[in-house]
Amino acid sequence: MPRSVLFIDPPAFCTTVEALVAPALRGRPVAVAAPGADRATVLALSPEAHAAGITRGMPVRQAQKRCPDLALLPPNPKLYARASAALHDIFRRYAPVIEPRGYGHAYLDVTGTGALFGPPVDVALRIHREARSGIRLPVTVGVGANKLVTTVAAGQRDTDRSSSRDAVIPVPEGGEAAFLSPHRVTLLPDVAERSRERLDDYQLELIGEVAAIGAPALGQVFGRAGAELHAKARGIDPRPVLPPAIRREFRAAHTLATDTNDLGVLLALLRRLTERIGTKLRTRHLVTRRLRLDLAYADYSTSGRIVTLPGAALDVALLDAARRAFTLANTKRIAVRTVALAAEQLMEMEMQMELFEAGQRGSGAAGPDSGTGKQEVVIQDAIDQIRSRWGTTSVTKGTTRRNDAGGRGSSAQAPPQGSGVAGFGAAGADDHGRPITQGT
Amino acid sequence: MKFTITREQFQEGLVAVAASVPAKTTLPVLANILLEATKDGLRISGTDLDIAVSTTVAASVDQEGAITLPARKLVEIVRELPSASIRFTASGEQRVGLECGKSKFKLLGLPREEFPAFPTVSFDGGWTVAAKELHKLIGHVAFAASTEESRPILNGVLWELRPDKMRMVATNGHRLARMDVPVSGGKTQADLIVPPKALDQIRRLFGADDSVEMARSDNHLGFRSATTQVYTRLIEGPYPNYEQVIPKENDKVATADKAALAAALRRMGTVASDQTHRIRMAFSSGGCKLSVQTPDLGEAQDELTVTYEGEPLEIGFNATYLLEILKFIPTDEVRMTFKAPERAATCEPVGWDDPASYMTLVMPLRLVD
Repeated sequence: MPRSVLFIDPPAFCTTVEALVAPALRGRPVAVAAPGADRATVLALSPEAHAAGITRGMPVRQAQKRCPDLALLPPNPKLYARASAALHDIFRRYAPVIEPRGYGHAYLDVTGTGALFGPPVDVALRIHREARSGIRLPVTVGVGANKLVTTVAAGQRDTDRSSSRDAVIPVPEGGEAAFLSPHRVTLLPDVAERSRERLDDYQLELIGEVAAIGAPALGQVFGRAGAELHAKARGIDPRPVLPPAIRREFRAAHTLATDTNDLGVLLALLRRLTERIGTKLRTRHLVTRRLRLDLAYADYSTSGRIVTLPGAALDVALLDAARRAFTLANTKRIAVRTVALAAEQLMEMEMQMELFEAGQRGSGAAGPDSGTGKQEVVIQDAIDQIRSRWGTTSVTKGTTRRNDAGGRGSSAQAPPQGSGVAGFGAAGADDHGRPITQGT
Repeated sequence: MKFTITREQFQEGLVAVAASVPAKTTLPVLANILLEATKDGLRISGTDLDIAVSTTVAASVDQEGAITLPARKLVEIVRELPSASIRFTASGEQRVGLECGKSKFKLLGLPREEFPAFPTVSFDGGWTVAAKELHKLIGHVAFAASTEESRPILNGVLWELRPDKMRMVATNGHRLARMDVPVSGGKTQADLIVPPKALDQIRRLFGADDSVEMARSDNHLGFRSATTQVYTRLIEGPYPNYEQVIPKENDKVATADKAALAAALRRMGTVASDQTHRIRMAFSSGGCKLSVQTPDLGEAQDELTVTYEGEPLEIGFNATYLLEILKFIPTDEVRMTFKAPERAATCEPVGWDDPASYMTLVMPLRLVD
């Protein structure tokens, strides 16, 4: 049975949602950026701001110079999450399998639902109409046989999408290569930056030009990525639409408002990140067997380290591993800009009870948090219970409250202001599906 | 070295020893077996330095001598030979000629001197046990030992020798098996921690009717019968205090048909998580309801007729552990006892007509609501 996939792309999601709650913003150039940061960048922007020459990732100061009328808004993850949830309520009426891609964005697998809801294009039209009339959100829908072509279809921004017909872009089955052919290669999703540069070097601008080159020739230039690029250019994408029940990894990252190599600030940040990952792991009864730490420095260089674990979910074990990874990775005397932690190799939490107490078991451990005793588990349970009732900031370690601007300012009460923070998808994402929140 | 041996006799000896030859080794001679032609016959020996096995088979020896030959290759050759006499003739310390009917082979080996010496264990003052009792103990207990390298002491089977009984205990920290076998006239008292691999060899190499002599040195344990000797390294260290984890106050008792319980567990196991094999069992006077719920996969329910006494109880288990235990329960009915969902449950045979006593226990899985 041929697959039927929809990609829902609400254009300029964040700024559109902001304009819904503040109608005065309609028609104005609007950008979302963290306030008060030395080096904040634009995280999301409205079409008017885009027309004014502002781009995502542009420093706020530069954006303001370019567009003095620019309305700057702080990120409002709760608002975006609410709007996103309302959209997903609509998706769930039609699609048995949904793969969220950040706020409002999602892949829907509607294969085999024809008898219930009609052809996929009809489903797309209904979703568009219901989003428009129900929650006043415009959405663009790519319809096709796989995630790749639907993403490209929905990503076309050169047509007016005010009517339903224009907002739904179907790609006929078997016509994927022909559909992609006239589009620019920059529209191909998930192509590594290095490959993009290479395509530029070879002056390959259109997807059709890449598709015309054989896979062996592309392989010679792009290595392993060549075959993948060739398949993409021909509209071949076997990736299934997957629900987000169990993710391959949990990631938490924070870009500091001000670059620093103050260990106090960085270790406090590590603690916050590990607590977020730990909460997520424990909520889903998972443990991680590998923690990866990535550092980005002020000079744009990066460093990373992986620490293996016997299976950890407690904050104390994760923090210990994160500190070890940080010590190993932080080999430069340059200020750190971004710290990212990823819990990989997720496994179901070992719920098997032990016959013998930890002291009797001998060295090593089979439990989810080796090296941590029963006391830590009890403390963690108590903290989790408090947080689940009173909020995540209701109980924290004193060191967690250090300001990421080096301890300056009133950090004891207010959370530090970061210019960009990644979360677990649920935390939020910008207009392009990339996660954002307002500080940690 | 010159001798003649029947293919069947030689193969029997080789099979007995070959299992002790390591599949991979950094010491080349360990991949070889030692052949020693003596006036008593042909002695075949192999070792991986943890376990050493030696057996003697009948052979017509014309000239005594010894050589080591690659074990796997020799087994392959002998397996393919016709059923006839095999004539061995060594030329020098490292070459041997092998003739069987019209088939002729020349093999290169290593000098006898390179083969490691067997552990020195004096059997004077040792003790004697009936092999069938050993078989019973090993067959019911060794499976429960741990295979995780991080907990070496649990990789062994605790063997308690007392004047009136022998007891074996094995556990991996989640489940435990214990068996007592009464003995009479025992003089020795000893606690030994033996690798299960060695116990498997003992079970394989000594027939049920054999009488096995045992003795220990500081680090090794030796077993011997008239034709076969097995030596194993003992695992050192204190074994966990298993007595204190054996529940004595379990007040809820379920009796079930073993085959029916195993079948229900297997059915539930198909939907259980591949990682935890978690199933839920709800016992009440009406029977036992089994259920499993696995995110991203599905759920299943089943019911089983059991006789149950006590307050209703919901408890989670690793289905694999229970199934494994049931495999070794020697009767058609099994009795399970419980105290609480987070306390150890026991599993015992019902109506076992044997002087031995057998008990297994398994720790539950924490249930997530």
